[in-house]
Formats: sequence, C-alpha cells, structure tokens
Amino acid sequence: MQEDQIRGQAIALNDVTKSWDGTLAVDRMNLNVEPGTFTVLLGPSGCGKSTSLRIIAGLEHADSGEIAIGGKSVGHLPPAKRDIAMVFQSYALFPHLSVAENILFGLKVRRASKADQRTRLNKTADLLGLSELLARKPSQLSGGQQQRVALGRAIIAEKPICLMDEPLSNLDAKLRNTMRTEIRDLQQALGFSMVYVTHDQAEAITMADQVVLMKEGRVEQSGTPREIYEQPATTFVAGFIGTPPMNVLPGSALAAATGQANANLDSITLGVRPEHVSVSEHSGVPAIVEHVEYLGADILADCRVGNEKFIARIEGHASLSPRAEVKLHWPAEQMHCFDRSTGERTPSDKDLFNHLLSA
Amino acid sequence: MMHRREWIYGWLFLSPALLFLFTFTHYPAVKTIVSSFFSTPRGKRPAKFIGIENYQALIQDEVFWKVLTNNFWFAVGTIPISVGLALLMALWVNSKLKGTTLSRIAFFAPTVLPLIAVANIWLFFYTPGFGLIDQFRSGLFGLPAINLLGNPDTVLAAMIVVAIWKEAGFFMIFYLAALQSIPPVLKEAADVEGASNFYYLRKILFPLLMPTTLFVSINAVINSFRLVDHIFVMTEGGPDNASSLLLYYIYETAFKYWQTGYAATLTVVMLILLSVLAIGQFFLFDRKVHYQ
Ligand SMILES: Nc1ncnc2c1ncn2[C@@H]1O[C@H](COP(=O)(O)OP(=O)(O)OP(=O)(O)O)[C@@H](O)[C@H]1O
Ligand SMILES: [Mg+2]
Repeated sequence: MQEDQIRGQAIALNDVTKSWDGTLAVDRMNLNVEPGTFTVLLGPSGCGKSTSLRIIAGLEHADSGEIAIGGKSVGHLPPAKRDIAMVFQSYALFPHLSVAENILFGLKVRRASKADQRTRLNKTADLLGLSELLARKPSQLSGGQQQRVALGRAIIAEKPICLMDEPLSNLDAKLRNTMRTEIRDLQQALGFSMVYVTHDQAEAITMADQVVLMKEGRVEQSGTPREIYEQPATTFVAGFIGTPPMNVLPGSALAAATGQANANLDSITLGVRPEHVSVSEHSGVPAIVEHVEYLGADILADCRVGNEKFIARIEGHASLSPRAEVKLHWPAEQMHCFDRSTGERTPSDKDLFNHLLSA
Repeated sequence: MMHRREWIYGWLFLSPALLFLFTFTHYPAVKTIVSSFFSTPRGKRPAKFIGIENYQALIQDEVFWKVLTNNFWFAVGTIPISVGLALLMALWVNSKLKGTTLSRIAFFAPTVLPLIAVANIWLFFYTPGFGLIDQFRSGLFGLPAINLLGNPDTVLAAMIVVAIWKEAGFFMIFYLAALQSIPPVLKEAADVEGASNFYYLRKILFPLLMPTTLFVSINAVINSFRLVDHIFVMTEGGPDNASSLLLYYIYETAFKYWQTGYAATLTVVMLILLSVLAIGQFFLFDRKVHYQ
C-alpha cells in the first residue's frame, strides 16, 4: 500500500488576523500543522474556527499575517492554486449531478483522462462503499451517504491537504461516531494533512494528533489531546475539555469549605476533574449532594462545596442520595492550579493541597 | 360518512372561485369556439351557422398571414434577447458589485411601469427630429432625422426593442430569486476544485436555473402574443399593418370593424397556437430540467 500514500504538506499560519467591520474574528493566530497529521480546530461558537479554515483554503483573505503551505507563502493564491481539498458542513454537493459526477467534478475541471477518471472513481467508491450509489442524485441519499460523497469528492484527487468544517454536525449521534473513525482511518491510510473544525470536544480528543483550542479569535492552547486534557493551559481550556468538564473554583471557596484559611489560596483558582474525585468517609472537602445521575458504569453527582457547584464522577456501585453530606477526596497530584486574575496555569503547591485535603 | 361531509365542504369552499372561473374563463372560451362557426349578427339578422366558412376566409386573409408573420418575428426578436438579458442582469445584480441597490432599482423600473407608460417614454425616444435618438444622431454625428415608427422596415424592430426593455426587468426578478436560492457554498466548492467562472456558469448555474428558464420562457411566449398595449399608443398597427400583431388584429376585427364571428375564429387560432407552444415547451425542457 506504500504507493497509495499521499505526501501530506505542512501548513503554517503566522500572526494571521482577520476582522469583519471592526470585530476581530481571528486575532494574531499562529498554527503549525506537521505534514500528514490530523489537526483539530476546536472552540465555542463564533470563536473564529471557520474563518481560520477559510483563510487556509483561500476562500477568505487575511487582513495581515502569513499563510504557508509546504513552506511556500500562499496568501496571494486563489483556492484552486493551493492544492487543497475541502469538505463543507452542508456538504455542498451539486444537486443536479449524480454521485459519480459529483465525485469526479474536480478531475473533470482539470480534464483528467477518461481512464484516470474511471480508475480513481472505482477506487474511491470502493473505499467509501459508494459503488452501488454512483448513478443516484444527492437528494436520493441519506445524510451519511451524502457525507461520504462529499468525502469522495475531497479525496479522489489525492490532494496533500484536506480541510473539513464541522462535516459531521448534520448527522445523528451513532452515525457521527462511525464517521469519526472512518475519517480518521482514511486520513491515516492516505497520509494527507488534515485540518478539521469542530465545536465538539469529544470529537476533537478522539480524532486529533493536535488540538488547537480557540477562544474569541485567539489560540488558547495547542497540543496533543493528552496535553490538553492533562495540562490545560488556562481555566477556559480546563472548563471546555472533558465530559463533564473540570471543576474550576476559587481557592478561597475551598479554603472556606475546609476551614483552612491560607493567604496563598486567595490568589489562585483550583481545578479537579470529576473522574478523579472519590467519596471518602474520613477526610476531604465537605460537600452536599444535590442531584444524582446514574450512568450505568458510574454515577454523576452534582454537589455543592460552599456556594460553588462541584461535579463528581464516581463508580457505579457506590450509593449516594440527594441531600447527603459527604466528604470528597482526590489525589493531590490530580489538582490543577491557575492564576486567579489571568486564568493561566501556575505550578501546583503539593504541600498546600495535601494540607487542604487532609482536613 | 365523514368522507361525504368533507367532500361537500370541499366543493363549498371551491364554489366561489369556480363560479368566477366558469363565468369569465371557461364559458367565454367555449362561447368563442362556438361563435367561430357562426356568422356575425347584423341588425335584425341573427348569427347563423356557417360551418368552417370563417376558417376558409381566414386562410384567404392576407392581413391574417401578415400579422401572424409579424408575431412570429416579434416572438423570435423578444424572447431570446429578453430572457438572455434578464439572466445577465440577474447575474450582475446578484454579484457583490458596488451600486447593486441602484442597479436593482434601475433594472426593475420598467417592470413597475405600465406598458402604456413605457410606450410613451419610447415614443419620446423615437420621435423624428426631436426624440432622444435623433438628438444623439444629429448632435454627435450630424446625421439626418429618421422616422423609425413611420417606416415599415423598421417599425417592428422598434416595437421589439420596447418589449424587450419592458420584459427583461420582469424576468430578471425570477432569475434573481432563483439565484438567491442557490447556496453560495456551491460556488466555493467549485472554486476549491479549480472551476473557472465560466465552467461554474455552464455546468452548475445554468442547469440549476433550468426550472426558472422554463417558467420564464413560457411566460415570454405567452407575453409575445399578449402584450399589445404599446401598439395602441405608438403605431396602431401601422404603417400598412407592419407592426400589427395577432391580438391587435383580433381587437381591430372585433371592436373596430365589429366582425365578431371572424374575430372569434382568429381567437381560436391564437388559443390553439398558445396551447401547442406551452405544451411543446414543457416536453422540450422537461428532460433537461432538474427540480429540487
Ligand atoms: N461573512 C461574515 N461577515 C461578518 N462577520 C462574520 C462573517 N463570518 C464570520 N463572522 C464573524 O466572525 C466571528 C467568527 O466566525 P466563525 O464563523 O469563524 O466562527 P466559528 O468558530 O466557525 O463558529 P461556529 O462554531 O458557530 O461555526 C463571529 O463573530 C462571526 O459573527
Ligand atoms: Mg463555523
């Protein structure tokens, strides 16, 4: 299968800025995509993911900054000259053309030979399981099949870069999971570089080699899914990643709850992932259970620590009832510490945490 | 039981519309067909059945053949150009060029004006010596005055220009609506694949506009028989019937010469002609039209 490998290209954004009538959509964005890797742009609605992707594609022009593909500056080039493929959220299939004609569109534009068209179409249709559907019109396909046709149109020419803007958001949950794996496998098998936009953090964590988390047009953190999950750079990242996301609360609230006043705690924000929390008999942070959600394998307990909400994810066989008073415990090394004013990660003070938890 | 009640309600709701449809469309149509086989009643002489005599007269009638030929050229002159122009204007107006609001209004203006008013404006353009056209000709090139409406060779062309001016703006609205309903992302997808503007126009936009083209061209065909208001104002069919169209001839026959029997015959011919054309267009286009 070695000859099937496309050589992916590197993508680099350098201080790219774009604004719409005064509002900044993308603010001095930096991005490096290694050749042949899978990068996910992640963030809440309106944070500039689509705009960044469209700037890479050349569908939008940056106000300033540099865009390079394969080491060459492409800022002045139209989309067709950037050697990219793109899958749109709405699929953008041509409604009057058959599946085969949709997939072959780009090859026909570039006047590939008939023989070349045929072999590539067969290969792509086989790969995506579309062989039986080639004569149909897009309106005669299910959402998932339309999605595959859009994928087919993107991969048939074996471009070194593929861009996707929320390609799965129109599909139901089950199909979304299947397609996630399919897209990831396809990217690995063919070896192109992928930039993939989503606002679903679970999708990002499962698919990506690199996650780029954006907020208000800026890159909040970029790194491997593990880095993003285990070492969130800011409270925003901490609160965005994970189902449910990390508990983030002021140090002073925890101090008050445990009765361990400490000047150091006033200037920091603390974070603990729900899955690291356990219920302890003897020591820990006192909390009141407000609501219990049984998920089978485990239990989600909405608790209150002082006035702060706090979620614990604990093993399913534990029994908890609403209004119970419990003590919550977690390993000190699973605590995250952020500067209270900037929200940025700061080194943790192990002794302080041990002290807190031993209450 | 329930079915029967609904059935009665259905007809009750339909009856006002049906009443009007029958009195003003179906009954006159049938009456026209019947009249075309009768002579024109005069004074105390009632209309009497004369079989196909009216139709025989029609075949002998030189003016009929003349207005039919005129109408043919009028249709050939107006339909493709007004539809083509409408599409061009819609593409122009739909693009993100500057001043689109102004051009939208400018292109749309002829549509809101009644044809009579349009005819008056063009009468001013065409007036020999003083009209806009002659002002230009003499002012810029020192050419002598011409009488476009007084010359049998040019009068039909002058009428065609007026009709195109009036119709193109109207058809543009339909194209504009159709263009607005085509998602812009299709253009972006084509751009990413390297399709030129022309390729996109030819392979994506035109096929997607086909239903509109069918609708607009059927309307254009009907209008080329229906629109005669400007003839009243500008030429009254002259000179020498050079600008008379079928409907105008029917009007003259019926209400100037009061030959109602013969007018009915002419009307039947026009009805048949229009039906054949409309149905023919449907079959011609149907295979090429993609409905969403
Ligand atoms: N064509 C446009 N004209 C004006 N403002 C725009 C345009 N496109 C995007 N914006 C603005 O730019 C900002 C970023 O938009 P963008 O579409 O990149 O967000 P996004 O991260 O893709 O959000 P979503 O997840 O909702 O798709 C938003 O505030 C949006 O309102
Ligand atoms: Mg978006």
